[in-house]
Amino acid sequence: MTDTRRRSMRSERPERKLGRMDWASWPAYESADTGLRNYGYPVMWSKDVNRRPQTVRLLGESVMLIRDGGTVSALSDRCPHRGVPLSLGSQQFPGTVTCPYHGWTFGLEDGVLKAAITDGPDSPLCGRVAVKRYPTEERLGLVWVFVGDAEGDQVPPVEVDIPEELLAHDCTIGGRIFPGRDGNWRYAAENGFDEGHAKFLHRHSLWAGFRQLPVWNETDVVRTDDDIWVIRKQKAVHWDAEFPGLGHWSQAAWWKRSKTAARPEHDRRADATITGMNLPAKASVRLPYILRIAYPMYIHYEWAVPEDAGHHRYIQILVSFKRGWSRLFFKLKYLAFIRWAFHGQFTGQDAWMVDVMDCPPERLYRPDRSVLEYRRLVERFHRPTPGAGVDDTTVSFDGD
Amino acid sequence: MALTVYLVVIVALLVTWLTARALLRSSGTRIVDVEARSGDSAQRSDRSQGGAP
Repeated sequence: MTDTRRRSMRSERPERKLGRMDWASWPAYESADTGLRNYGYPVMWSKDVNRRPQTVRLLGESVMLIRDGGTVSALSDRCPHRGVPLSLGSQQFPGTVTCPYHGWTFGLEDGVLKAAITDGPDSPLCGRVAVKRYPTEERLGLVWVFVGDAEGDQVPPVEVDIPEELLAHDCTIGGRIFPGRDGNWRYAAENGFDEGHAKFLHRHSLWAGFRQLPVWNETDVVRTDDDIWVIRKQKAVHWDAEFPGLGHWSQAAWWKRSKTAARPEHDRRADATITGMNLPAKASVRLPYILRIAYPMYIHYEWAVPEDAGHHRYIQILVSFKRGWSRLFFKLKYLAFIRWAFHGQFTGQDAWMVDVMDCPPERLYRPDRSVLEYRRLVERFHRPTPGAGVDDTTVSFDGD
Repeated sequence: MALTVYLVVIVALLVTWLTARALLRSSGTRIVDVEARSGDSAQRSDRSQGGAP
């Protein structure tokens, strides 16, 4: 083969760029494989926590949850004596939990050893051994656990980690919690805010069954002025497209009568409460990972709560702000359809991708600006460990 | 006869309802009504996401 021919073939070949081999551009993000510390995370439905101790895995730590006297408490799920999970134990005295092995009994208020039953009432260890206690709160029908290194007054109120509009209005919440989903939490977070995937991956889902999805969008991805949210703003929506040398592609079908609205208020059926919130966009994300998708009639929120490097607890809720009979209708609709179609098949398709995803290395494309902006949000605004020193890549509690 | 049919229907509905509820709960499904929180806590909730606690 002549040199000329070889050069010609090389120029016809697509440029082979390897792409990004690691996430070193965002060191804090890269190192957060077991999660972002110092946030309050929703973990269970309030009604599912009772006097029987239960265990959850959070950010690589095992946490025992128990309800005592109406209050939910969380302690490290490991007895310091022989490493047996306290969640296998029971309650022998009010305000305590007792290890099933030798009867070591810890106070729920402070995690301090109150009694070692098999060592008698005068055990010298009492008051000198403790397990870690996790601050807990109940909001929105969920139990929230703060996982981090702050203690006492340093622990921020849980409201800081809950979208404001959820606390400001009466609402009805339908939701599902999936513990132990496969995949790192960052894959789930990036998938949630990923601009490109929904219109292709979910195109045959029941949830989008009667709605035409676009082929592609031109989207701005920006931070809100207060640096709380990253939002996706649609500049242009393309409902069909001509691909050179391949042909025409569209999702149009006779049974797909409606098209998705770019903003909830663009829909004439929009709920007045949602319209009144003046949400900056249909899709928004904030730290640690709270995704908000505003539909005209309700708002979807989701969390990917890190369990360990390979699993996350997926929490999804759909919130309706209707009252009266509309509230009952929402409940019936959620149980009969939404729970199966949206919070079942649709988000199940996401779980499938999160499970099989494997990056870096990665070769990103234009719609991945959404993913990049989320990574930048984590890198720039993640909450630091108290006392660790605040560098110029993070902001303080007051945002200054 | 009518009373028997009536009782069978009632029991069947009750069993169906309890089974469905148990299945939904075991799959992590819940529906809850939430009242708005008033006061400072609700208003300051979104002021800051980050920062040293």
